Amino acid sequence: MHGLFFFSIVFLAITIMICSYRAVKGPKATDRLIAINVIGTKTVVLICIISFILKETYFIDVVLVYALISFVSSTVISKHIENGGTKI
Amino acid sequence: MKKSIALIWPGLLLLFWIILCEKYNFEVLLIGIVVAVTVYYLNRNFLPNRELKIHKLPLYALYVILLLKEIVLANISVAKIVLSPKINVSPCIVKIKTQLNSSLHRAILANSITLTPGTLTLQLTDDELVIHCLVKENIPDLVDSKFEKLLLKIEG
Amino acid sequence: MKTMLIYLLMAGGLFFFLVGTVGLLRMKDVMTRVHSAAKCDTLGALLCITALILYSGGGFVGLKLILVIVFLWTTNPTATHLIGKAELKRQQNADNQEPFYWNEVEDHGDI
Repeated sequence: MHGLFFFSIVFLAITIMICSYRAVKGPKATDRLIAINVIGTKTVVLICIISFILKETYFIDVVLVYALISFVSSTVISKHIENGGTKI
Repeated sequence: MKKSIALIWPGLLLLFWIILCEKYNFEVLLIGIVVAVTVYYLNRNFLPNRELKIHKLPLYALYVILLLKEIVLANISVAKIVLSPKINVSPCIVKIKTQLNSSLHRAILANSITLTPGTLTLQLTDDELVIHCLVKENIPDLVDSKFEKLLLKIEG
Repeated sequence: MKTMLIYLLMAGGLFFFLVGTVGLLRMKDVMTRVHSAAKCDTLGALLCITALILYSGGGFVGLKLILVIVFLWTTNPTATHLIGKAELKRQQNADNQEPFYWNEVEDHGDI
């Protein structure tokens, strides 16, 4: 079962790298924000899987806090874009 | 009736606390009750204090099942569009009026439409939803929405 | 049997994550990117975490993972909705872009 988990975290890490291409290149600020949002969701699942590999259940508390912080950051940045924002 | 409503929020907070503690014994319960009641007392003006209708709960469960089914079907259709060698999408924006009255059910409808891939709620003013569709074939489903029918049944 | 189910669910979740990433790269427009990316994540996260719940075998860890799913499913559509709204406002404010085309739907009397 650990083989499956190791494969999953490597796979997720590769997809996160592909997403960060869009975050760096994306022509508009909104593109970057979408990419960051997707990376946040993937990181949540990644930390969940890592907590099962290391057999440390307190990582799941970290996951809960991470999900909320990622939501707050998306909210704030989208409000900033909505109110004019910086010219990117 | 009023007393039983007031106990729901502290109960939910206590359940949340016990799940976070991963065990239940006397001191966890004692601290949990104190913290839950204090948090509820400090935030009582912000929490919605509506009547809970017990006999509507099976309909809400039915709603969750319907939502899961729709999400799986729509996800597969979006995956087909993304993985096809030539992407043919016809994005468009539609305005739709809803017949729901309570703001909670309107918010549930808007969030369900956003959760279903292929449609995305952009704005929700009084009873008007502004929805972005990925393909034009989604529009008839939106006008004649299953979610809205079930929510109308819950309301009425 | 249970192992087989865990493998299947995890593979499905990873497949939907991959589809979301590919859509993020391939789509031409901002709105369509929102569709493909933020949506395939909902089912991907659900399937992956369901596999983990099966592996953990119930207990408090499973309840916590269900809480993670609840958080993700309430915050994700809200964040998506806010991004879409910001993009709509930005495109309405921009001068040199062609406006969105609106399809008015009128026949919604009998729902």
